[in-house]
Amino acid sequence: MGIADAVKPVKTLSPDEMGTEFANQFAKVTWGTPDAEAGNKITVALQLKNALDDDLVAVERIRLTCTEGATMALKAAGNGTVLQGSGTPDMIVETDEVTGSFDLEVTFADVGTISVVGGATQGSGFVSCRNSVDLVFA
Amino acid sequence: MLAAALREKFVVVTWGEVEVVDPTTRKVTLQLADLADNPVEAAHVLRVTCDEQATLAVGAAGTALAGDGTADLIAQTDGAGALELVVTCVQEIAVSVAAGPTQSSPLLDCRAGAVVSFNP
Repeated sequence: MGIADAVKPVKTLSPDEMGTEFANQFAKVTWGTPDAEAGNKITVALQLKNALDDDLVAVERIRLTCTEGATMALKAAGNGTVLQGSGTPDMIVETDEVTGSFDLEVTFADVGTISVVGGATQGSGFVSCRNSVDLVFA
Repeated sequence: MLAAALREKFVVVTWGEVEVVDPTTRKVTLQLADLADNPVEAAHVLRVTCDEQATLAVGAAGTALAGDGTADLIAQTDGAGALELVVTCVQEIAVSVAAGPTQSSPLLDCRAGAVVSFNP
């Protein structure tokens, strides 16, 4: 073993060694498994994760947009808050302060796949929104 | 502790105290900071919006790129990471001001907003 191997532990930081406080600075949007379609509606949960892929309990402001023709709203009695655009394909929401989640309900009266994507907006923190979700209406 | 060069890649928006100029005008300075709350001395582009009853203009620090004098401003901080905003409103209300990322912005944490009161 050379000296490079000996000093490596103090020169590198694996994700597992990252402190939770630091990891919680970086939010990531993830999506649960969509529920079955019922009455032209599909619900799906958005959950924030931190940089360690653990659930992140935080209020984060996110803009959600979806395929034209569909509309979005907060699921009845669901987690989270809609700030603007309920009942439209362009909505600004906040995740729930207790769970870090937002329960989304998408309505589409036709047949097809509706894609939902998140994005940073005014008042957002460090949030990665690379994950999207596809909802299949039959 | 993170190295300073790494900390500065993650830019946090902070707000100073609101200054009363006259009954319909207030000033507030937005300052960029790093994860350790040290000033980030760099010019960065960001979008600033406020309630539609008010307007935003750039004051002594920073540069307006678009929307100067409206409720939807795109501006650049000065080399010290500061952006002075002049908020104008003729109604006696509290105006919420929010920052956000836009084209050409770095990684920005804009969770903190400012409330500018025009109440007497």
